[in-house]
Amino acid sequence: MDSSKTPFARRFGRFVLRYRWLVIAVNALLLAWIFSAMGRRVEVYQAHVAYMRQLRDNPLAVDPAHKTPPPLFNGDYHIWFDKKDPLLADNDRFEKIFAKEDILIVAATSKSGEIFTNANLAALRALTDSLWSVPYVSRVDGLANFNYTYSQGDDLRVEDFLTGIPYTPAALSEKRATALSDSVVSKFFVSKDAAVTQIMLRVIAPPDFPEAHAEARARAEALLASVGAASPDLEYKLGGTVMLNTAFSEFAERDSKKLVPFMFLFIIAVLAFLLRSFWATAIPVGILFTSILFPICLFVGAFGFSLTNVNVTSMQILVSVAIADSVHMLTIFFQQLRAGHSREEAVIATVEKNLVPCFVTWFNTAVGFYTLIWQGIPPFADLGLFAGTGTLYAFLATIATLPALLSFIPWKVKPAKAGTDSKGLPQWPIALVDWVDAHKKAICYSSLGLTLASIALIFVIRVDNNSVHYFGKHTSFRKSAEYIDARISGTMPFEYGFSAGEANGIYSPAFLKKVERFQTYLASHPDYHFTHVTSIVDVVKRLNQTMHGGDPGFYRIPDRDSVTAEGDTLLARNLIAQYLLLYTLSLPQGMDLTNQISLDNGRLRVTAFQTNLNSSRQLEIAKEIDAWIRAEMPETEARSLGAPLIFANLMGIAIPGMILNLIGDFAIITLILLVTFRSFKSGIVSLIPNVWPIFIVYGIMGLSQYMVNLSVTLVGIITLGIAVDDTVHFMLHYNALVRAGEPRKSAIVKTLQEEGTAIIFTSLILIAGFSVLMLSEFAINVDLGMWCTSVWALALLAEFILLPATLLYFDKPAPGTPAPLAQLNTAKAAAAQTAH
Amino acid sequence: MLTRLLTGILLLCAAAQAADGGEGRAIHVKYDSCRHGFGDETVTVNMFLINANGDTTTRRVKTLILERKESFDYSLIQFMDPPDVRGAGLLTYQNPRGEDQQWLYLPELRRVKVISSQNKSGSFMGSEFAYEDITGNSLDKFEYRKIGEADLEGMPCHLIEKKPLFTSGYVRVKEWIDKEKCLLRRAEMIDRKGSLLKVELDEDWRLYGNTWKSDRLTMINLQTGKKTVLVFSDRKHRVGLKEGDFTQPSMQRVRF
Repeated sequence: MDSSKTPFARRFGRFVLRYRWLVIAVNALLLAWIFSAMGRRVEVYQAHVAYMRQLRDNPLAVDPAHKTPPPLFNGDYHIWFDKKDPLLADNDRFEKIFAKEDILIVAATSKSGEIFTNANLAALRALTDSLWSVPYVSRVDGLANFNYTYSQGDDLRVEDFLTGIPYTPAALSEKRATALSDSVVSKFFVSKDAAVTQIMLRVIAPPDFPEAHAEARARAEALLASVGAASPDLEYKLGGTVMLNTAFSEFAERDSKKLVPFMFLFIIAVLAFLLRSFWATAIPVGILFTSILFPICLFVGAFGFSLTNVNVTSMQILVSVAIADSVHMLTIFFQQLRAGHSREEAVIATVEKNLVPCFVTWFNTAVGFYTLIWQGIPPFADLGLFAGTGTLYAFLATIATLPALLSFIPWKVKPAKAGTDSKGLPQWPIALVDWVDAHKKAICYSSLGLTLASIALIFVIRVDNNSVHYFGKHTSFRKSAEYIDARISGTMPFEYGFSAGEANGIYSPAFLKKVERFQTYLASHPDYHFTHVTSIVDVVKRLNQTMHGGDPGFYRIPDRDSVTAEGDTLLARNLIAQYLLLYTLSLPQGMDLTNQISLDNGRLRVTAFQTNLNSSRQLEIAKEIDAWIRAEMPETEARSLGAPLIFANLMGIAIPGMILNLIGDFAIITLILLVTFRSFKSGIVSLIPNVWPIFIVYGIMGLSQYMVNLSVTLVGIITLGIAVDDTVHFMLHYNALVRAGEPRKSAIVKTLQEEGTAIIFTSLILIAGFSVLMLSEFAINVDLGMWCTSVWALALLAEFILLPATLLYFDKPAPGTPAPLAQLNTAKAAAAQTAH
Repeated sequence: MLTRLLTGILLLCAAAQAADGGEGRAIHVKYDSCRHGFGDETVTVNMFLINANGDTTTRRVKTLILERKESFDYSLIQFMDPPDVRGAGLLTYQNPRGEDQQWLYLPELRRVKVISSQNKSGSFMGSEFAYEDITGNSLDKFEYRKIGEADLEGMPCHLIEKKPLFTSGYVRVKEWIDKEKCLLRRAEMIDRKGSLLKVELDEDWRLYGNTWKSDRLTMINLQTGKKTVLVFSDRKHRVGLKEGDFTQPSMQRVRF
């Protein structure tokens, strides 16, 4: 039967039909393998979690044979950076010198507006003590156990700020007054109106064990509900990096549990509505489902990758990739059945007609994803790998497994509907193409103008990558973060490591004065939005005051050497060293100075707490500060560091990378289109409906001054592949008709009649499916959904109006070759023949 | 002899209430008795503070101790090294039944300050040892229970669990006291969240007269990976220290 003259696509279709059991079995085995690998991976990780819990309670129970698997879900911000990133390297060095710790903030608000009541203080005292039982906590700091140092005559008293509750009314108001006037308490532990207080927990989590944060948070929440509830006047909110890290996984999980199923239901509903058949809905949904799970189970299950907030979006992306080809397949399959072909013949013809377009679209899409691997941001590289591989699987499943399954179903085909001709083709494209033909010039030039305007607007896009802004305005995480910001202290720490140039150099009064000047500089810039700036300079000044009987005139760095009555010289430098010795002598459990000064006493840390700003503003401020340091005190080697800046900087790495990626993608896709169509003109023309909507949407971003986030860098890549799919189907069809001698205009009409329905179906399903993302609480997903649906809506417009207009305007036939109708009929007859 | 009699009495008293028949407490009484009775002591302590990366800083102090009735001991710590804190001193009057009294002398300020601090769980001079690890060892501040026996590097040991009866950074401490000499070899501190926080190793036990002293104490913080080693040298007993050597003016004299 098979002969060399039979086209490959047809032979492949026959192969699929003949070996349909084999095709289905191979696919099933592959899925069984990766699903079991995923199951094992989950088991291994659960065993690891149990081991880490045991190790937490008994760090001596180390099993040397135990291997640490990568976490199933990794919310650590380090994953965003190439290990070679210089800012990250600087930051890691900083954390090594000082400390790497995460913070969990408990903000307690008095509903009546007054923290200083016996009931509230008793509850805070009990809560502070009980929070020591939170897993992985190394230190709990609050108003209750604040190490309050003060002088009483010549005595130096060190005690917990809140002891001996209940207080008399007079003692209460005295405590209140002390708290509001003390330089440290008023900075960190009470708001100016004494209505809000915070308890800070330092959490030291083992590396690569994000569950530690989840455990710490769960225990803290339980304690707030039990111990904290003792005073009904108090209301609690949680914040800090522990909340940020858990929020990443929490929101990713919530999205994948709520939105993905919702998206699927939506797609199932749409497919069921459009195709009105159980199996025509069930089979592509099955293909979709396995396609989105395939790369995750393969890479996470079999190859030990971790899930991240970015690579889980491969699920949403693959839905769009997999569904387009499935709909094209089903549309053609039903056309074949309606035309009266047998089920087997319809299967072969469907494969035959779709193999090349599906292959080309798959190739384009996969190339787009795989190029992400070289993009430089590791989570995007993983996303590229996941989505590219998922696309490959979806292609194979769509072109082989789908028809193999279709061949088993006893289809009942409904007769052709009204509004269609005898072959079941819709009539509306005729009117549409007539309208486009009449206005082709206006359409082409206005589109060109819009594109140019959009390109100009791209340069005014405002970007933001503040990690708090990843979460929707109405989420409790974001609300709490902004509340703490506004009421107590900024939650975005800028970190500076000042070098004194030599070991023990931090005791030098001159050096401390420099650091003090820097702190004053930061605090004197309200436009920098630092709520407070701290370092051991404050400790030295405070102790100097305390040691001088609390005289406010001594709240300064001791800077003058003096001579005693006996003629001994007293060195300010040694005094500072002795103050710090005194300070370490009186520090409570879990506290030492190693998170403030380096072990050799040659460096000290300044932390400036900033309120939530847009990341581009954060970068501007950091730049100004770094310039100031370079100009005023370059020898200190300080520069702005800290997690917020690393996140902010990410945008600067991501966008140029993404632009290069898009350009590369355009180039590769153009090349593929040129090869596919074997025509320069077709290749270029077919780019128009793909590039145009992306430019317009980026232009809208610039025009609206909407604060865009990291999702913006994914929009182009995700939408491009899909938009190209439809164009490939369109152009291949159109070119075949033109080559068969059909006139341009009628070729467009026929193409829209035969392919238009599929293009509308896929676009509507995608728009519906992705618009579900807008319900997410994760801003990256919301924006991704919004921008992608906008691009596809515009791409649909481009496919039906701009592409025909361009073809009519530019793709003019060589003069003197009118296509006779007879020739067209011959071509059709030939096409019908090959179909049998 | 007196000690033994006392032990017997205490044993009888404790037997009625303790779950282990008072055995844990009795062992501790024995351990305490063989460490004490030296009268007075001068010793140089080298402190090695080692962080998680293995970087080390050293400090040297001279310690003077005067044993007094019922553990109302006096101690004076004077800093020798690093040079910028040389001469700084910390004087403590231990009070096993209440708050210790403490004075601090900063040479560069030429002033003695009373420090009253309730904080016993805080770090001792920035080391992994807490004040309560060094000074809070009065017998009556804990509840003891023998929980078993175990070998420690070939040494048969009693396992004692002690629970602090004061505000402590620990919920309990597990101790290995060897059966032969009745000396503490190892202790594990469990923190308020029920996790093992630190391991203490008491090594180089030596007999000075009839008093046993460990000349090498190691404290490993298992949660931060930091470690402190205290090495004792020039230990001298009965050097003739008097209460007059533990006064505020005496702090201002440097003894090394």
